[in-house]
Amino acid sequence: MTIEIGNGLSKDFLDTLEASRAFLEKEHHLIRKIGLKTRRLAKGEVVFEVSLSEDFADGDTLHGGIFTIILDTILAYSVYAELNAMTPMATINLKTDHFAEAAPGTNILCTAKCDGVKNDIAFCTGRAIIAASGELVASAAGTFMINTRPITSATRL
Amino acid sequence: MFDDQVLLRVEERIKASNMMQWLGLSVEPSDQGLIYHMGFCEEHIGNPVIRAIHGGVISCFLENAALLEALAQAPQGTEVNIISTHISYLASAKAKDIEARIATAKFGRRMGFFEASAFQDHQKKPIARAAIGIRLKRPEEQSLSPQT
Repeated sequence: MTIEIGNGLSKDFLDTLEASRAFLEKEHHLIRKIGLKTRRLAKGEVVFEVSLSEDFADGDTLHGGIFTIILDTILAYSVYAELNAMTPMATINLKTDHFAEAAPGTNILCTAKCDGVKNDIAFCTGRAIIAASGELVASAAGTFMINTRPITSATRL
Repeated sequence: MFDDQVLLRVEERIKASNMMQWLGLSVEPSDQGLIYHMGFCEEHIGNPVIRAIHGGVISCFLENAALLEALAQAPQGTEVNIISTHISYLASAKAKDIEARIATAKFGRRMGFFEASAFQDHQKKPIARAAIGIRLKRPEEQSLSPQT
């Protein structure tokens, strides 16, 4: 399936993002296991599709916590798309609400939007919905500190 | 001392959940209540450059620790479901095990409110704190209104 590219993204950024995606799908254990597929990229907005395995189940349905992991990940991507750059950043806080349950193997659309950036803080919101029905599974709102350095001390912010 | 039956119920819940198994979740009784552990594995890494654990994985761990705490406090047969989680990240999490302690803000008839703290090296320096709301559906409510 093709990736829809919206307005406002530079070619340099898209090339960097593609290189990053290829690296993550090959080398990043968590991203590879989740299996996020890019569906749309635009300035400040991203859409991914995912079909999660039983490894993330809690009984017969998917555990809500996996959507916390996915939404945290793609909210950060919406900031990259807003800035047109893959700048280092750290999550400051994240609020996740859990709605409907979904079974393993269900196609889920995960969307994220960077609502704004003030100085070095980005504000984002995202949703996970069942692709076939549009039913809301989880929503999240997060803030991120941008331009953090990849330091080795325990200091995050 | 902790009630052995409660501890058994919590351990059975962990065994029955693929997600909790993936997190490497385990529980240990102490004089201050239950202590929760997340055993590190490579799939927990979020930032491979600084080898920090993914923030969403930490949030998921604290959600599950609070859920197990609710299960431990509730009457047997109570359904527990996570409603919302609000987490603040205080320090980056290194590629190693994480410990969590759960404080109960309120354990009501239908809702439980918990404050979770995650630690690695120092008990006085949490790496993350979360406020977690959990819906409690007690056995008598399940029989009265199965759809709600």
